[in-house]
Amino acid sequence: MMSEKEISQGCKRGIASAQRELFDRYSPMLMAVIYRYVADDDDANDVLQDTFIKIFSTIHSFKWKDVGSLQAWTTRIAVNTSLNFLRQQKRLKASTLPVETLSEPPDDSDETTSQAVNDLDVSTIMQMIAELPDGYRTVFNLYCLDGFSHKEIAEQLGISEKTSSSQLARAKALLAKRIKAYINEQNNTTTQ
Amino acid sequence: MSNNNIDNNWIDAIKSKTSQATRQVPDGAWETIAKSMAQQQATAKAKHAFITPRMWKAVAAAAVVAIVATTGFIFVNDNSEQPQLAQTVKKTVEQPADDATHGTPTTTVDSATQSVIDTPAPSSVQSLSPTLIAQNTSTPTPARRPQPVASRKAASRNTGHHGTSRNSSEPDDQLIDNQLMANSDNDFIDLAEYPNEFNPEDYFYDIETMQALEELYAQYDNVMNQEAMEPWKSYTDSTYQQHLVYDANARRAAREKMALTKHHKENTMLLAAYGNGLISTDHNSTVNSSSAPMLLPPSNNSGMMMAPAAPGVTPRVAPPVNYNYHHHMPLTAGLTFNKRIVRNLYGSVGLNFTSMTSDVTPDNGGNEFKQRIMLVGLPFGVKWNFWRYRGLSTFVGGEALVERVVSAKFNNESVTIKRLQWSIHATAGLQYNFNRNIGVYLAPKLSHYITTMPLNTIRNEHPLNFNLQLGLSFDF
Repeated sequence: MMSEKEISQGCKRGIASAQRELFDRYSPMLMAVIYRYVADDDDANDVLQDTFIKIFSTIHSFKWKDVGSLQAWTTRIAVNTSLNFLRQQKRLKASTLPVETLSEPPDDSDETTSQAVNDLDVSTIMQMIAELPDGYRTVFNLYCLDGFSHKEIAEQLGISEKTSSSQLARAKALLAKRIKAYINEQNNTTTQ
Repeated sequence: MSNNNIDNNWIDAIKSKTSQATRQVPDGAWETIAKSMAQQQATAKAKHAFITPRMWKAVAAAAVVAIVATTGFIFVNDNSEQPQLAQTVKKTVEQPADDATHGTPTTTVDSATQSVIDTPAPSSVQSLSPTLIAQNTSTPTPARRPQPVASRKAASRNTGHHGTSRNSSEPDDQLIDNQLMANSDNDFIDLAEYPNEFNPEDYFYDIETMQALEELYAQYDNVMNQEAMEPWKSYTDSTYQQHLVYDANARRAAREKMALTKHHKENTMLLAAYGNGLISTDHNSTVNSSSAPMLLPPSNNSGMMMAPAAPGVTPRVAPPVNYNYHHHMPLTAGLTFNKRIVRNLYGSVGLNFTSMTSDVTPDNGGNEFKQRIMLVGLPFGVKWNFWRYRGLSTFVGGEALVERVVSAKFNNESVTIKRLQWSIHATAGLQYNFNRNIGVYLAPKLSHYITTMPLNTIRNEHPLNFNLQLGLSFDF
């Protein structure tokens, strides 16, 4: 089994076996990342292909530092590719945001606990995130799951930091609301 | 617990769960990616490459065909070195002699002939003696001496054609003929193999000159037929045969020259004329200095001379002329095509042209002139790239080179050299590739020239030399 460093070096030399190893090892993880952004399997598949083409064509700029650096680098490319896709699809405009989200976010933080989240399986969480509106979902993914700052989000999406912060609050409130609703629904089903 | 803490906890829980998330990749995704990558690479190459990959194959094929065709034309058509004789003779007779040294005029063939024509009809054998023409050319002429070029058949045929007043009653003439032929068997070459190599009119006397010679030699024969003019009777037995040789050759020379006059456009006549030089040269060793030599033997670097002298007459022989050479740096231009055999190992083939120029100064005070030689070469070898970093690579290689002279001029006189020049080369160099196909290289090179040229060149003087090459490399 090739190490991360060997994979990167092999890809830099254009060795097909190394490229295939990189694809096999990281494509499921990257597919999940991409799906969190584009929220559609077919679109995710297209973006995944674009992501790997970009990875192989820019691998010469990657510098391996330690274990995990290659995964982080590929994830970053997947995120950027997903954002480009959303821009091309014009799904990041403010006008696409639902009217209900323009109101003040509900204060549901005291009702949503980590325990409740832990009781959910990953696919359910992924589905809930995917069902968020494009703008909310994008900001939530960037800030909460992929470690972007509001400044970086503002630059990426072409919005102000305040708008980014506001949309993040609404995204969290909406997600928490849906998690609570899902748990309540599960509890009702169990009691019946 | 503050609201923020509660908020962060469930967010962190989501982050923890999604960070490990995976999703099924559709079948055939990799094949689609690989295909897209190949298309993108092809498109990128097409945008940046001056010649597309498909064109590279065509270019490579065209280059190989061109090289093979050129090589075949130049190298395969190498049947003999004999034809250079004509040029050798012409060049030799035009070289100046050192008149001051001997106090007697030494002229070219043409002027010698003219001097004979201008001479009043002689009354004795001595006065009939044509001027001996000889010129040693030391180093510059082609090293391969002029080969005997007459056949026995041609000589006898010419003898029959001349129609001069040969006295058939002379028993010694036939005897000497037989001896000459027997002694010359090994050196005779049938020039019927070279029927169209040169135009006799370019190298031999005109009709008027030959008619004058015919008249002159007819008078000579008449004189020799007189009993009072039998010179060999006054010689010792040891020199008797030599004078017979002289006498027979003198008359044969006259007959052959006259035959030339009448049949100067026929190749067989041309051969006979050269045969005269052969006979004289071949038998020079039998004629000692006590009698008139028929002809001085050409040295390795000398031309030939002809025309008989009468017994007792000192031949007028020009002294050797030495030449001093100043060789200019040879210039080579060419193309080399490299084909990858295995990883980092390339086979190479190419075509190059070399120009070598030398300043030649005769030591007899003559004017300086130039010697120019153009060669076309076919290099082939292997190259191993042992280190590579991006476009930069280092290599070592070995190469053999076979060259053919396409043009050689010695003071505006063309010299035909058909001998192939072989050499071997070892090189180590640095190459920078602008793309996958084109690169520039700088390579020190150690060369050894195995075969030498008949002309004096820098390669003859330094068969082993070191040079520095800068060139373009095409990899395909």
